[in-house]
Formats: sequence, structure tokens, C-alpha cells
Amino acid sequence: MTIRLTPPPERDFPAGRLQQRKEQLVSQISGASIATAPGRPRRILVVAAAVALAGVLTAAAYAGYALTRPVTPVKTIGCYETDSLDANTAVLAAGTRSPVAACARKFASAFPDAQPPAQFAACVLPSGSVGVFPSTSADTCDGLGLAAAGGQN
Amino acid sequence: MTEVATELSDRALWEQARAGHEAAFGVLFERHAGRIYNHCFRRTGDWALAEDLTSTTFLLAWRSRGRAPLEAESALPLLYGIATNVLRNQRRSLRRRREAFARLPVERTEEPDFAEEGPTRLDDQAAMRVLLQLFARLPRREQDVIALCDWSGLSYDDAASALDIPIGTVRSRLARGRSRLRELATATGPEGDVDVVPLRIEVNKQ
Repeated sequence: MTIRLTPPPERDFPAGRLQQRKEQLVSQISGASIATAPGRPRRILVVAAAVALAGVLTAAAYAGYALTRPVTPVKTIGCYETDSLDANTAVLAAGTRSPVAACARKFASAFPDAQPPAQFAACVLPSGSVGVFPSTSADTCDGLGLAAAGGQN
Repeated sequence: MTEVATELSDRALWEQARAGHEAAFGVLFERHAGRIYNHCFRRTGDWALAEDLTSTTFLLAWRSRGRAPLEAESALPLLYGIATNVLRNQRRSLRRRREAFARLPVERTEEPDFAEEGPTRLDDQAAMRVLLQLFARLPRREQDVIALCDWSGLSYDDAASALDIPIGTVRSRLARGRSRLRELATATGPEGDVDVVPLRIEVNKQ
């Protein structure tokens, strides 16, 4: 057997096949530059929009729930020294008296250094129980991001 | 499609391709596909496969065109470099690319492919496969330099550029590879039957 270490001579790329391959190549690279360039940003936009929409819907649902939810029956109420969720709080046993009346009655003894307010507002706390805050306007609960505890005044 | 002056240099065509001019890249394809096609044939012993690998090489060249301007006057070293990588990875990627090309809506030509010179091409394939059985026993890095320098006619400089290695490494790998290939050939057949002709072949410069 003779082993030649020289490969066969070069052959032409068959002319018709060359043309066909060229058309395929140009077609593919043209398609790629049209389809892929804007495609990626569009996908990113769609995903970002979906995430944003989900975030907005979640926030709206939570806000709606926080501002409208009913009071969960509890055994205590919170009396706040000022109209802030971070204020000093006196916890009272929930009795037959309305939460506002109970807080008004205990305010002076619970917070001796504070000026007793003229009005109070009863709001639904994030825990579901009632919190009573000194009030200077009709939208005290709303200003704290809480629902007003209807019928608890 | 926009007309492109076919007498433009490779570098000018490459710059146009970098700017997104597909027709300019088409001219580069017509200009160099034959060389890459023969190179791929010599590495695989299969003309049909060589055609697919040539298309893949140019497709990858198009995708990489944005990375850097063409430093050499000719695009060939770059294309040979890409082809070498394509050949290395052909098993895992070829089927995927072949399917991608097959999906393209291009009319089939009526040309009878290799009908006229079919027997010659079959002989080529048989001869090449015998040689490749021997060749495959060399380390891959030595195969690469022999295929580029001796079989495809690249200068040492261009081969170094294609393989991204120093020119001294090209020389040493070439010397080792040639010597090892001759030893393998001698050891394979009965002494005297081995046709140890010079390795370098005449390349059809297009």
C-alpha cells in the first residue's frame, strides 16, 4: 500500500452551490441583524413591565386592604401619646367602654407630661387591633396609613 | 441588496461588514469560501461536511466582526483561525447549525452538484481519509500547523496569526509534526511502499 502524505489537489467550490451558500449566509445574517438586535431589549422591557405591574398591583392591594380592613376582636387597645405609630403607648384592657372614651379617661394618668388632646381618633393597627391617637383633623388615621376603626369611637 | 465593489480589499470589505453591510460580507465569502472549503475538506475527508463547515466559519466570522478591525491585509488568516476552531468543535455544534441553515427559505438550485466530477471527488475522499487516519495520530496542535502551512499554503506569519501563537511555536510544531508524520507513515506500511513526498502541496490561489 502506498501512503501519500500529500492531500489531493484543491477543487473548486461548485459554482451553483457557492451561490446558494452565499444566499443562505446573507439571508441568515440579514435576519439576525433585524431580528436579534431589537429582540433582546423588547424582551427586557416586557419582563420589566410585568414586574412593575405586579409590584403596583401588590402595593394597591395592600393599601386597599390596610385602609379598609375591619377590626379584629382583641382584648387590648393601644393609647398613643401623639399621632405617630412610634409614640409612647399605653395598653388598656378592652372593656365595654369605647376605645376613644377609655383612652380619654386614662390619657392624663398614662402620659402626665403631655397636654390632653381635645379629640381622639380610633384606627385599625397593622396587627388588626384598635389604636387610639390624639387627633387634630378628620383624616388622622389616613395620615398614618391606617383604616379608621368605624364604630369604635 | 446594495451593490458592493468587488475589487475592494479585504480590509475595506471587513470595515463595511463591521458597519452592518451584509453584501460586503457576501463578497468576502465569494472571495475566500473556496480556500476554507478545501481546508475543511482536508481536515475531514468529506466534501459535503466541508461545505457546511465553510458556511459555519463565515457565519461565526460575521458574528465576531464587531470585536476588532482586520489587522492583516487579507481576511484569510482570520478565517483559517475560525475554521480551525470550528473543526475542533464540529461534533457538538454542526448538527445544530446544519438545522439552522436548513430552515432558511432559499431556493434549491438545479445544479447537479458533483455529478460531472463525482468519481474524482470520491477518489479524493478515499485518499484523504487514508491520510487522515495517520494524521489523527499527531497531537492536535501539530495537525493544525501542518494543515495550515503545508496543506493550505499559509506563511508562518499568517499561521501564527490564525492560531494566535508565536511564530517560533509555529516553526517548532511544524518541524516536530512533519518528522512525526513521516515516522508514522514509515512505521505503518512496508518499507519502500511509503510515498514520502514533500508535504507541501500546490495551493490553488484564487
